[in-house]
Amino acid sequence: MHFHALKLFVACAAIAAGSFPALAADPILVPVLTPLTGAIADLGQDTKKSVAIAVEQINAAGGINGRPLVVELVDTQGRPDIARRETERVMNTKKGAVVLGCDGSAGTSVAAQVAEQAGVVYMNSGAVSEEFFQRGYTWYFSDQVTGTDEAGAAIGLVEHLFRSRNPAPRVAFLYEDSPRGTGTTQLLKDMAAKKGIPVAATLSYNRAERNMLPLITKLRESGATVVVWTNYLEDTVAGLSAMRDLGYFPYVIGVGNGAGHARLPTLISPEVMQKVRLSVVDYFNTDLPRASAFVAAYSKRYGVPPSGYASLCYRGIHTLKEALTIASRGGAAVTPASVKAALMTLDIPGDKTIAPYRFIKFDKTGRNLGTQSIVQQWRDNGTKKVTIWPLDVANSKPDALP
Amino acid sequence: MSLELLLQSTLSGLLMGAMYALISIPLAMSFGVMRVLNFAHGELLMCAMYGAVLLNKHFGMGPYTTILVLAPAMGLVGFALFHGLIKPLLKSSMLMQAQFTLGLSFVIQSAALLIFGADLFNIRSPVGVAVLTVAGIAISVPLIIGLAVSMSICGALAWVLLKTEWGYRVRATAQDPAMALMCGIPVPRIHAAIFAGGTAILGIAAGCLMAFFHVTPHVGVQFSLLSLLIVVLGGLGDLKGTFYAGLLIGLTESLASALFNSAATPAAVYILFGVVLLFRPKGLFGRGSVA
Repeated sequence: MHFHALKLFVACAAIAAGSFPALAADPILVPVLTPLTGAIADLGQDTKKSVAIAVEQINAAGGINGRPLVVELVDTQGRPDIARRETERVMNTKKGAVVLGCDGSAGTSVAAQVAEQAGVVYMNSGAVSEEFFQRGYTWYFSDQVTGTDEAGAAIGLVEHLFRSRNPAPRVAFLYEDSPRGTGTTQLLKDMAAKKGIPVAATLSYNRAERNMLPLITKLRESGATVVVWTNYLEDTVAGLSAMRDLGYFPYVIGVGNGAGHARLPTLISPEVMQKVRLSVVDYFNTDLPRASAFVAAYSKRYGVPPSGYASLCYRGIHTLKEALTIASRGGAAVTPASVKAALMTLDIPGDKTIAPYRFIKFDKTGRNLGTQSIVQQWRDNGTKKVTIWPLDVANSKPDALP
Repeated sequence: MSLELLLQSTLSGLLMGAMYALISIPLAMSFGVMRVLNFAHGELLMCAMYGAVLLNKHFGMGPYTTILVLAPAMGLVGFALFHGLIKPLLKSSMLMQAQFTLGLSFVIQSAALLIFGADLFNIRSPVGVAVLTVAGIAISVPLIIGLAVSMSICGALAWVLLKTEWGYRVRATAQDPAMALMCGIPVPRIHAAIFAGGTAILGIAAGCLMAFFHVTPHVGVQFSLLSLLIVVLGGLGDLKGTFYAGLLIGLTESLASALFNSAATPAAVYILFGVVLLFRPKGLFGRGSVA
């Protein structure tokens, strides 16, 4: 009786002191902010699928120092107002040390701000905007590529294609007028100007646009033979259909998930994809040996290979798993400070990730210094994508300009 | 702007506008006769578009063949929807109708997301990629078919409403339902037929759309907003106005896209909308309701 009373007293005292160590079986909760519904719901739905696999794999391998990893998917609808409300709700009700964001730039922009104010680590695995690094945030980390990485890869390929071509071919930039499209295209224009690449036209369009024929006619009239196109899936399908209708087949390099989407060959004739030598700047390649286990697990469960979107949070969860393993070592309580300190010490070799990165290592601004974008090209009637750029990681040569 | 670009934009804009008109006509009908502004209109169209995808996937039906199944099926859906949900709302305020149908649109959208996921679906068919090229101008065959179907349906509707006894009854119901009832017109049956018929037309529109367009759970909202814009621009309840407003919106979108570089398209459409309503508050032909 006295023994039980003593145990109860010790437990109460420890709780009161706020220093009660986590039990070995206490789960570690990571809220995942992602657009499960709304205009970019395909990002959230793919995230949902890959997160389920990641969590199962981590827990099957013993969890995080024996503690199970639990995620809670939080729907931001890709909208800043909803992202703010949901991030605040998660901060207030879950009291977690870290949140993972697999959202577009609009949602990430406010969610990262809310996390910063709350002093909680925000790990971004989705948005590519550079601007977040310039805000002076101390709790923001991103293992995702940036717009600069993407623009660098696209312009690198354009420069390669232009080499020894006389007269120089004409390049045009085409983009949806979202912050993502506008920001990436500005970077592309700046890089093209620095490299002396002649630009025939810069054209934008609204997401609500349903008739792409006038826009593609304008593009054709500019005389562009290479089009660098920042796009999503809907506009990719509509734009390629318009190119087919007009019989205009420039060399198309897509930036964003549209041109590389796994389902694209079922939505548009592979012949058209072949004619425009459809290429895509991406952050994931199913052909990478390091991604094979993930690709196999995903394909087995869902019957289709994972999209680039699906790779984001899978990678992000594994990055966080490494940090949480360090932070919770020896049964230590997982706090925002301990997770942040762990992230700062991380140095994950490239071949331990599913991304084509050199490594994952964060600088003081939270930027991953080891990111690398690649360019893939659709081949064999849309049955596969091969990596064509940069040449040192490419497994095939880019198709030449016509 | 080159002549080729101008012609291309004008033609594709008008053809697209005819499709918009076809989609918007049922909304104009239900408002004109019942004074119900159905905010779930686009979602009903979306359901039919998913239906076309399923029929194509499981039975190999082409987009236009699916109309044979979709039109009667959607008619039945409309009939059930009218008796289950819309009829009780007829005597409610317009605000309540709007709230209710908005809620319905969210329910349908969420259901589509649960059933089909967020993936984009389309139907690939030989006719979908057929193009006529005249003097360098590409004319999409599915859009020409869309124009023909749109004009046929609008023409048939006009004939029924203006030349048949049933049409007189519909017009009488639209003008004064209480008086129509006293004259022995079965107003509830007219209402049900109009809603079911309108929903059946959405089945036809879905078949035509799926020949060249795609469906996602988000597409319904876009078409709801577009249809509302067209119906208001044409004059609430005015079918002729709705048809021409559809053409005008399609043309404006297309020319704005050709003339300006970028986000100007939605702005141009709403500027046109504002200007027209400023001078014609009852719609293009001044015959619509200002309700």
